[in-house]
Amino acid sequence: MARVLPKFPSRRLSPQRRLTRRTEPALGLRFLALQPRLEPNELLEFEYRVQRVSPEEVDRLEISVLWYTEGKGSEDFGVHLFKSLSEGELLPVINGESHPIVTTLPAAPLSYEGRLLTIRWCVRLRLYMKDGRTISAEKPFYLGPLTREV
Amino acid sequence: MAKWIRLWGKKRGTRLSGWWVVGSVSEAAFFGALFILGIISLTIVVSWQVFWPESTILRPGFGFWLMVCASVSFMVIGLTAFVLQLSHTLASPERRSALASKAKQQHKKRAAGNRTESPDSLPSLQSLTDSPGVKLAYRLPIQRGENTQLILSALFTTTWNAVTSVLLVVTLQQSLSHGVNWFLSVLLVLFVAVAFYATRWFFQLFRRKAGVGPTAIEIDYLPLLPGNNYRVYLCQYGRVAFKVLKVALVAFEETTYEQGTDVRTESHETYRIPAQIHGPFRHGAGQIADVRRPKVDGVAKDTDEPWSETASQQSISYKLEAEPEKPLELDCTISLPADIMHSFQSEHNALVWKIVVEGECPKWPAFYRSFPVAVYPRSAA
Repeated sequence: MARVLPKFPSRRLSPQRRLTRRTEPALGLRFLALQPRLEPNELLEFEYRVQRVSPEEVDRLEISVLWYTEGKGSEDFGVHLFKSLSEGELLPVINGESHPIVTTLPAAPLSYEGRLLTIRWCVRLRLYMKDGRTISAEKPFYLGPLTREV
Repeated sequence: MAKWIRLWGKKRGTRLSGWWVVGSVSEAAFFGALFILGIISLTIVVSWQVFWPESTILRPGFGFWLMVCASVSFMVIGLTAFVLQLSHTLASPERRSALASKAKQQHKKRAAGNRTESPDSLPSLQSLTDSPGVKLAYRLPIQRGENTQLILSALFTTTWNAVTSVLLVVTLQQSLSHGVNWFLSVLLVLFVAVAFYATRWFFQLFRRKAGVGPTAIEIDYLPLLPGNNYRVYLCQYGRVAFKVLKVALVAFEETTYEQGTDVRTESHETYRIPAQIHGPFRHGAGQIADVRRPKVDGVAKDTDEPWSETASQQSISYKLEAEPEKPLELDCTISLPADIMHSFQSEHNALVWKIVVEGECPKWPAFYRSFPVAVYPRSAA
C-alpha cells in the first residue's frame, strides 16, 4: 500500500508576509433571522463587524444588498440598498462591535435557478484600504420560494 | 512582479492574466490621447482658416468639413470613453448601479405620474395593455421579429433578381454585338440558379406566414399572477382547417453573451403550461367552469394530462375550421401553478412568458405564433 504524505512548502513565510497575514482586516456578516430564506417585502436584518484594522488605514466601507445573475449570459445586477461610509462615519464602525442594518426587501426579482440563468441575492461588504487593497465579504440568501427549472 | 511589467495580457471573460491597473490606465491613456488629438486637429483646421484665410490648404469644402467631423468624433469618443473608464476605476460596481438605478427610478416616477410603476426587473405592462380587446380586456401584441426572416428573404431575393436582370441584359448585349461571351454566360447561369432558389425560399416563407391567416389572442387580465386562472380568447382568421391546435403558456430563458467580438443570444424553454380549450367562444364567464372539466359518470373531473385538452383529441362537437367570413373563435383557460417563476428582465438576461399557438393543418406547413405576456410575483401585484 502506498503511503501518501501531505506536501508542505519548504520555504517559510518571510517576516513581512507574516506581518501582512496577521494584520489582514476581518469582515463579519451575520443574519439576525434564523433561516436564509426570506419573503418579498419582508424585513432583512443583518449585522456587520470590521476587525483587525485601524480607521487610519481605511478609505471607505461599502455595504450593499443586491441581486445578481449567473449563468451563460453576461452578468447583470441590481442594488437594492447601498451605503458608503467614509472618514468620520468610519470611526464608530471600526471598533470590532456589531452594527445592525434593517431594510425591507423588494417584491422582485425572486431567487431562481434555471439552465441558462440563475438569480441570486446577497449582502456584500467591501472595505477599501488606503493602500489600494479591497477586502470583500458576501453572504447569500434566498428571496421567495426558490424556483428551479422544471 | 512579472505580471505587472508584462506588455500584453490576455482577457478570458472577466479574468485577466495581467494586472488590471495596467489595462485600465492604458485604456484611459489611449482615450485621453484620442481626445487631445481631436482638440489639436480641430484647432489647427479652424485656426488655419482664421489666421491664413488666403491659404489654399484646407479651404472650406468637402475636405475641410471631413476634417472637422473627424476631429469632433475623436473628441466625443475620447472624452466619453475616458470618463467611463475613470468611473469604472474610481467607483465600485455597486455604487455605479445604485446611482444608475436611482436616476432611472426618478425618471420613471416623473414619466409615470399618478400611475403605479413596476419594479425595474419586471417587464412593463404598458405595451401589453395599450390595446383593448373585443371579447376580453386586452388584445395581446404578437412577438416582434417573427417576420424578420420573411423581410430579409424578400430584400435578398429582390436585390439578387435585380442584379441577375442587369447581368442578363449585359450578357445578351455582348452576345448580340460581339458573339457569345462564355465567362458572362457561365456567370449568368450561376446567378440564375441562386435567383431561382432564393425566390423559391421567399415564396415558401411567404406561404407559411400568409397562408394561414392572422391569429389574435385576447386575455381577461394582466399581469398574470401565480395560482390564478385566466380566460383566453383565440381567434384565427383566413381559410384553414386544423388537424391539431395547441395553446400553451410557455417560459423561455433568454441570455445575451459575448463570444470574442460576437454578441450571441440563446433561448431555452423552461416551463410549459398547456391551456384548456373548451370550445367555441361564448360570452359570460360562468360557463367556463361547466365546460372546462370533462364529466366522468356525471362528476366533473380535473385532468392533468397536458395535451389531452386539445380540441382534436376530445370528443367535441365543433370543427377547428376557419372561413374568411367566419373566423375560428375558441375559448381557453390557463391555470398558473402557485410556484412558478415570474417574468424577469435585465440588460443581458430575461425570463419571458409567452402564449404560444401551434397548429398543424393538412394543406399548410405547421405554424407557430407567440404572444408575450407578463407574469408578476403575487407580492408585486
